[in-house]
Amino acid sequence: MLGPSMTQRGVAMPDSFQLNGAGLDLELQDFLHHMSSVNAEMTSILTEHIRILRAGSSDDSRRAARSEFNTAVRNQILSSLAERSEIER
Amino acid sequence: MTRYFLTRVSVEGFRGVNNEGAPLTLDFKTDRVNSVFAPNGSGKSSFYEALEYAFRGRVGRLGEMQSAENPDNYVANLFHSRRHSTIVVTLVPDDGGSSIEIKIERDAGGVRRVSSTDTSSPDSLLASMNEDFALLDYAAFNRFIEDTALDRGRSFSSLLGLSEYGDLLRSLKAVSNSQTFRTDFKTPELEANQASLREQAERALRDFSTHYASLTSKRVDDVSLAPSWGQDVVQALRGVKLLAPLLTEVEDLDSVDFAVLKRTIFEAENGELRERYTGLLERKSALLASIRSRASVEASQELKMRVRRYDEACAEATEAQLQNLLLAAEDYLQGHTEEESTCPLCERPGADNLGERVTERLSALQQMQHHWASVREEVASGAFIARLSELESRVSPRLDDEGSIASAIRERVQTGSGLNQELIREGETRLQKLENLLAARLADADADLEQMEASLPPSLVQLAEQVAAGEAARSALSRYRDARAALEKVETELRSFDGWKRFVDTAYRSFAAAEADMSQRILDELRLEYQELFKGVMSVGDIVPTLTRSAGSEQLAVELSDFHGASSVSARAVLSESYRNALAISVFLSAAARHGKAPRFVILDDVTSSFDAGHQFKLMEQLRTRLQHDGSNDGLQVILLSHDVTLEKYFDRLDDGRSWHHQKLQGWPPLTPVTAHNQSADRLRTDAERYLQAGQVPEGSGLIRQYLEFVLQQVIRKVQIPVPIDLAVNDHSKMVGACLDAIVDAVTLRQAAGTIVLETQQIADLTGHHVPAIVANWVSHYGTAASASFSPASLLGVLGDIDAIRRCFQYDASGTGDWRFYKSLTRRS
Repeated sequence: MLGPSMTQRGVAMPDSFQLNGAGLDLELQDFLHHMSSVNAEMTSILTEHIRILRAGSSDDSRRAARSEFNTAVRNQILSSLAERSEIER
Repeated sequence: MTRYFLTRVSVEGFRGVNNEGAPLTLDFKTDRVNSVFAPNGSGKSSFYEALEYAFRGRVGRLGEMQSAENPDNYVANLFHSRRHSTIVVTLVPDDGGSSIEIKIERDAGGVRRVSSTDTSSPDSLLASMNEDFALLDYAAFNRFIEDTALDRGRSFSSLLGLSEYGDLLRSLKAVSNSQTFRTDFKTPELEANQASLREQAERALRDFSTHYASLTSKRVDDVSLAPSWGQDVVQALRGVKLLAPLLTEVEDLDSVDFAVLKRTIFEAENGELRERYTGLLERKSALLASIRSRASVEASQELKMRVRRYDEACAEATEAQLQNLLLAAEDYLQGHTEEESTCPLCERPGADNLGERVTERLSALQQMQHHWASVREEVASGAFIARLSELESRVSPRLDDEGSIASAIRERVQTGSGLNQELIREGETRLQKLENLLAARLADADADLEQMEASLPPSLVQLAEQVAAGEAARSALSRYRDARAALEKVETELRSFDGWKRFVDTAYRSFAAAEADMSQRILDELRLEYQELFKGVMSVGDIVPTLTRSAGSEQLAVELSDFHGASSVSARAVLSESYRNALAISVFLSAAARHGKAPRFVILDDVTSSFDAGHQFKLMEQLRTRLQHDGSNDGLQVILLSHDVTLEKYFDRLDDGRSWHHQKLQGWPPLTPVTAHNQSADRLRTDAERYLQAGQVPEGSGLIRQYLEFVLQQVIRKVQIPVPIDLAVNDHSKMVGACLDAIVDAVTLRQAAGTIVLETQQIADLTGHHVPAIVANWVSHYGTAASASFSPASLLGVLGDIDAIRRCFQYDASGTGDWRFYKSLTRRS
């Protein structure tokens, strides 16, 4: 579930990050770790997103995955906001 | 990581290769360049496609066909009885592990099955072989130059094994694309809702502001004070003495019971009495307004006068008179019963003007009729009857049980039954009564009103207005708060979406920057390699290709940083096809050499078709010396497929058998199976020997001559024996003798000079035995076409002498039969 950082905290540009071509499977973890320094919660969502996108075998399937995932993220954000609002009430 | 060489491939029932029951099998060496020559139509492309199917799961060429053409029907060989394709590949790990054999089958239904007894995961091992560089054909090289910079960048990224990076980069870019993001997150709808809620809040605030100002005399400029606005309103209402006790316990504006406040004011105003007073006033006004006539009893005089005149007219023109008149007229008509002098109409004696008298009588009757009409008019529209009628109906309909006099008068006039003065006087009496009654009632009402006015308290209108303003303020404030809450919710959602958007933007930018940086670093690392390779193939120093990755994009530009002195020149625009092809090959092979993925082989299909022979040789040499793994370096296993005979010439020229492995496909599919034949360096000798051992002298003798020429030229080339210019440029019938002469002369000269490296025995064998034997037993007879008279045994002896001549110029490098040519006549190595 998304916490306050999802909806309130700003997003800062991370420090420079480098790839060396050793293979995306290896370097993806470094990249996600790097992004988690920006926002850990969002990175967990991004991780799932990337998993879905990489599973797509074609541009069409990736496009569908992107749309589906964006919708899921939208709903997740709305759900998080509703829950937080309920708690505050 | 463990990488794999490809050491064997066998194919059956796939594409053009039927080979049912006898698969086409090719073996490949791991430590030398492998070449496969195939004449046109002998299965080379099918073999390449078999590897495509094995590693990529598809056949590229069929994939380009329309589905209506049923490309799947053409995967299996059309003439294979079971339409069953079988491909077996053998992979050998480069870390010394055991070889792995994987069988890929495709049944008649098109179902692919992969099996292996050597690995539990043959599918994933095959999938790991699916790297772009592992299978390269001419089209791939051609596309590299002709593609757009973006497609080139992507294919190159894929070639470097970085396609996954590119895929992720594009995915992140798509996610952060503003338009798609707004669509997926329904942002426009939220923004429209936001604008609407803002307007609602502003309108409610304006409304509240008006009421708030009227109650508190303050403005609402600072919305941060909104939470206290309700209290301000309550406080203002508390300032009203009448209401204060009711608001003591009230905590906020929402808790105020405005119904109670309004009822209190109502009661304080004696509202019931005020209500009755107002009602009475309204009824009085209504009564007065309803009686439109203004006549009085005196108005009856006109009617009375008219009736009297009628009565008088009637008296004057009675019916008796009329009867008399008519009787007189009858007598007159019967013969004058009366005196002649008496008027029959007027009974006057001596009447002398009868006509006038008749006229007079008729006028009286007309006068009577005129007065009756006048009565009728007065009854219909005169003031008296109108007043009487209104008061009878409105003041008191039940005043007289006998009914309405006005109605009776109207009825009599209407029926012509006569109207007398008595009835009019009754009407006057009735009207007078009603006038009196009306006056009394109005007087009573006025008295009541006066009394009520005396009892009513002063008006509380202003206070009521304050309460109304308070209630309106609460409504407006409620609307404002609701709109603000909804607006805040929408804006929170938008902020949250924007937060996510900025995060994925950051992720995209961060990854894109890293990917671009990595690509450029790799390009920098490759630059020297592909430039050297290009230079090695094309033998040009002033054409230097350079790949440049555009900042912030996947585009890859191919330029010539040096083109005969000019810089930044488009390679696509100025290079000929062979140069473009060489450039692409240089780039691809450099990238392939750098690649560290699972396949440690590169299969090149017809990549030299645009080259002339010279450039083909140079490319082969580059492959052999720069790219090919030789057992010790970290190069790749190169497998060349070609229908160009240049490969065979190159193979003959190389002829050491240690750095090149050559095979040849033969067959005529679909009529015959396709078979592979290993081609050794001494194939001429082998073939000649086979013919001779079979007793086929004519066939064998022809090959002996070719073999002798081949060996002599090989010796000349290897040990660098100078030859006459005409020998170098002409291929004439005296070549064998001329070559032998050149070799013997050179050996004699170096021996005389004391610089020869050949062993004494070798010199003696050469000059004293082998050369004379060849000349005596073969050269002198071959030119006369008498060689057919030789026995197979003697010709086999000639083959031995030829081998012996070559051995005279070789040394055993390791003492184990590793025979190598001297570097020259004066240098061992």
